[in-house]
Amino acid sequence: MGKNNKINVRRWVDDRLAMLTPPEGWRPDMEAGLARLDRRREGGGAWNRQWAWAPAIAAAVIIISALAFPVTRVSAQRCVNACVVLWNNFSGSNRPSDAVVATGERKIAPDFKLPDAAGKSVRLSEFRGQVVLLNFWATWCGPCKVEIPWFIEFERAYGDAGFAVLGISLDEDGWKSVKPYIEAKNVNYRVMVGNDEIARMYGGLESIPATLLIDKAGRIAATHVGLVEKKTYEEELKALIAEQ
Amino acid sequence: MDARNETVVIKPNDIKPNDQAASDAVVSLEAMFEAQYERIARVIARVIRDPGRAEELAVEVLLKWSRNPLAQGSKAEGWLYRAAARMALDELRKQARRNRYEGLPALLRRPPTPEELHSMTEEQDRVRTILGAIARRHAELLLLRSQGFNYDELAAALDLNAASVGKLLSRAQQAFRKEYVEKYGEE
Repeated sequence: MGKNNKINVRRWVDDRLAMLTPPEGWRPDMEAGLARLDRRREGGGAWNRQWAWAPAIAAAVIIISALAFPVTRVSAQRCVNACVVLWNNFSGSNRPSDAVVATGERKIAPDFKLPDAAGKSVRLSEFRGQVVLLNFWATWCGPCKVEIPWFIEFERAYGDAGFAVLGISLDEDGWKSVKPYIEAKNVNYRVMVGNDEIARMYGGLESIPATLLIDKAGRIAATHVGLVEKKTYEEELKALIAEQ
Repeated sequence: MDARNETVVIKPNDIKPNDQAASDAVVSLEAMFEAQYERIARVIARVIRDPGRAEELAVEVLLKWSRNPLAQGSKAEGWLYRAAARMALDELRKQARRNRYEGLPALLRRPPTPEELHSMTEEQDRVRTILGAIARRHAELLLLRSQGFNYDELAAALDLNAASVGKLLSRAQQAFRKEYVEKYGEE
């Protein structure tokens, strides 16, 4: 049985790897390859290698020098915030007035059931009657790290007003990365580890953070992909809490 | 393996006077390019989707080989294919990271049709994703094996004990299958 299983796995893997083929009809261009080889050998590559780090080092020196002084540190923070706002305005998807969908046009959020960090089952539909901020994130995602403290604050401030934050991590190694992270950050809302099925249900979710605001009737009222201003979330969730 | 058995052209002027065995002869970069470029590019193109990038990386593999004295002689071929597999896997991981950070907002895209979901391309993408996700050592083994390397050649190319290749290969296959089933389910 064990041997058969081994053979089956081997065949199964071989079959899949056999599917990997170069594009049909494609042949490497020998002439272009040789020309590239000559160019790289003649020193173009050597120059690149020698100086490749120079801009990065220069940029790092400038940034570190600037951040060493409180005034420039504050300015840099303001600059980053301004960039975030500008980007959000430019992308046009995150203005609160645009993002919140009219009540009649909202679609029901796909239901899911996942265990949280304590092993307790969380079902989205159990939150009917509450406004839910559903955040798809990962421990390696920079913008997610910016948003998480806001969500902790929202949970604390509006948790008793019919509001809940739910976090679904899309970390590939699951709880191994997620548990230590949420413990270190003192995350006070419920976090689950997602899977491909959940991601597919919510449209693929190849880009995170992705955050949905779900109204009391379980319908998606707003969708944000990327980093969004704290103020935007807060205005929207307050408006949704106030909805009858 | 027959695909890689073409004779390598060795220029007489490139052979070191002290070399004893013909297998240890130093092959010129041009000769190695002639003999191996196309196959190296094809190994890389199997793994990454962009054939143009595969051609660029194949040139890089050959350049690296020419600069590495330890990769010369009888080890050259194994070294080249291992380097090609590594470069392809590194590129695959880089692409995956880029996609993760720069992916278009997926919520705005239309969902794939059932036909698309079951197409060959989809399956190839899955295999590529899994190769990028499992341990690099496992992925290298599987790639070179699927390229036609036998156990002895795998041992030589990856600096392994020939007696343990079978066991390592089996572990790599199990790891691939496990990762695949976890990600995409049993099929």
